[in-house]
Amino acid sequence: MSDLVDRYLGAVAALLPKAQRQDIVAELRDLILNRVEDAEAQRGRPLDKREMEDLLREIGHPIAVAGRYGSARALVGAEIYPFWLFGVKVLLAIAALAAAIPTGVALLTAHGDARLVVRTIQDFIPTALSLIGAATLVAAAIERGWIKTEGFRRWKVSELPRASDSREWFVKSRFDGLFELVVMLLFIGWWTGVVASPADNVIKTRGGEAFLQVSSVFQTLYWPILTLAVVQVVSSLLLVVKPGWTVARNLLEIVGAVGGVALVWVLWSAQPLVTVLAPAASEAGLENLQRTLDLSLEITLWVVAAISLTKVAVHGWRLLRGR
Amino acid sequence: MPTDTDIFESLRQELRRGTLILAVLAQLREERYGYSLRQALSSVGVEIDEGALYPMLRRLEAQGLLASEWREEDKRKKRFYQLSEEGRAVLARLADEWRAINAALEPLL
Repeated sequence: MSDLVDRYLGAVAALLPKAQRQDIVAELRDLILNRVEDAEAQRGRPLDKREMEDLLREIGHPIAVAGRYGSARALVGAEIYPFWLFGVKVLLAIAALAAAIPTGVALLTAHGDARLVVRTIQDFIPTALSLIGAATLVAAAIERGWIKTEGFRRWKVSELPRASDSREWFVKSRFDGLFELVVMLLFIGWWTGVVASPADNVIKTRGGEAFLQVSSVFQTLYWPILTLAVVQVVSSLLLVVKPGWTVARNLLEIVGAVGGVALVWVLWSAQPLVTVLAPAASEAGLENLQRTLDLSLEITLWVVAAISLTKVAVHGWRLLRGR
Repeated sequence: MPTDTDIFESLRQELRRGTLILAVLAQLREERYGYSLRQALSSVGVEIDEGALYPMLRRLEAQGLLASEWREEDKRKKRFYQLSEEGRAVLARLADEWRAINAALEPLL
C-alpha cells in the first residue's frame, strides 16, 4: 500500500516549489496516514488496493493538490478582468477593420474574389489569437505588479466620454474614432508605400486595358497630405483614448478641416488630377471616359470641401461652447 | 445555463469562504496539527476539505497569523499549528467584525 502513497506523493512533489517540497509532502503524508488509520479502524482490517486508490482519489488529483499550495492569484483577477476584456475587444476590432477594409476595397474595385475573403479570414484568426495572448500577458503582468498602473488609478470623470445626446449632430462614438483611426493608418501606410495598394491603376474596359496617370500635383502635395492624415490620426486616437480632451480634439479637427479646404483649393486649380491613357480605345470613347472621371473627381472635391467647412463650423462652435 | 442548485451552491461557497478562516483561527487558540484541526472543526459542525485546509494553514502562517513546529506524536512527525500573537489580535478584530455583521443582518433576515 505504501507504494501507492509514495507514488501519489511523488507526483505531488514533482509539481511543488523546491523550497517547500519536503515540508508539504511530509505534512500530506501525515494527513494520508491519519486518513488510512481512521478508515482501517472503521473497517477493523487493513485497506485493500482499491480502497486505498479511492482514498487517495478523494484527496485530489496531484495537479489540483499541488496547485492549491501555489499562489492563489488568478492569471487575470477580477479587478483587471474588465480592462482586459475591453482591451481585447478594441484590439480585435482594430484587427478586424485592418483586415476587412483592404479586402473590401479590393472586392469593390474588382481586384479580389471569394478566395480573398477566405484568405482574409484565415489570416485574421491567428492574428486575433496572438492579440488575445499578448493582452493576457500584459494583464497578467499588471496583476502581478510587474507593470505599474498608478496613472490608471488617477482617472478623472471629466475625461470620460460625454453622455450621448441623440439630438446633437456630428457626434462621434469611440467606435467611430476607432474606425477612423484604422482607415487613416491604412491610408498613411498606402501613401508612404508601407502597405501595398489593394488595387492598381489599370482598368479593364471593353476596348482593352486603360491606364490611369495620376497628376504630379500629388507628388508636390506628398507632405501636406501626410501631415493632414497624421493630424486626423491624432484626433481619432484622442477620441478613442482620451475622449474627455474635447478642446484638443476640436482644435485638431479644425486644423485638419482647414487643411482639407486648402487641399481642395490646390487640387481644384491643378485639374485634371487623373488622366486616362488607353492606346487601343477610340478618341471619342477616351474623351467620354476622361470627362466622366473629371466630373466624378470634381464632385468628390465639392463633397470634401463641404464636409471640411461643416467640420470647421461644428468644431468651432463646440470649441466656443466648451463641449 | 446554471440551475438554481448551482447558483445556491456557488453563493454558499462564497458565503462560507471568509467564515472558514475565522473558524480555523478560533480553533487554533490551542495547538493542533492539520488532521486533528479538521476533526475538531467537524465535531462542531464546520466541515472543511483538506485540500483547502492545508494550503490555508500555510497561507495564514506566511501572513504571520500562525506559528508552527514539527514534533513527534504517536511515533509520527506532525506539524503543529497555533495562533501567534498577531493572529490573536487579528482574530479578536475579526470576531468583533463578525458579531457586528451578524447583529446588522439578523433583523434583516
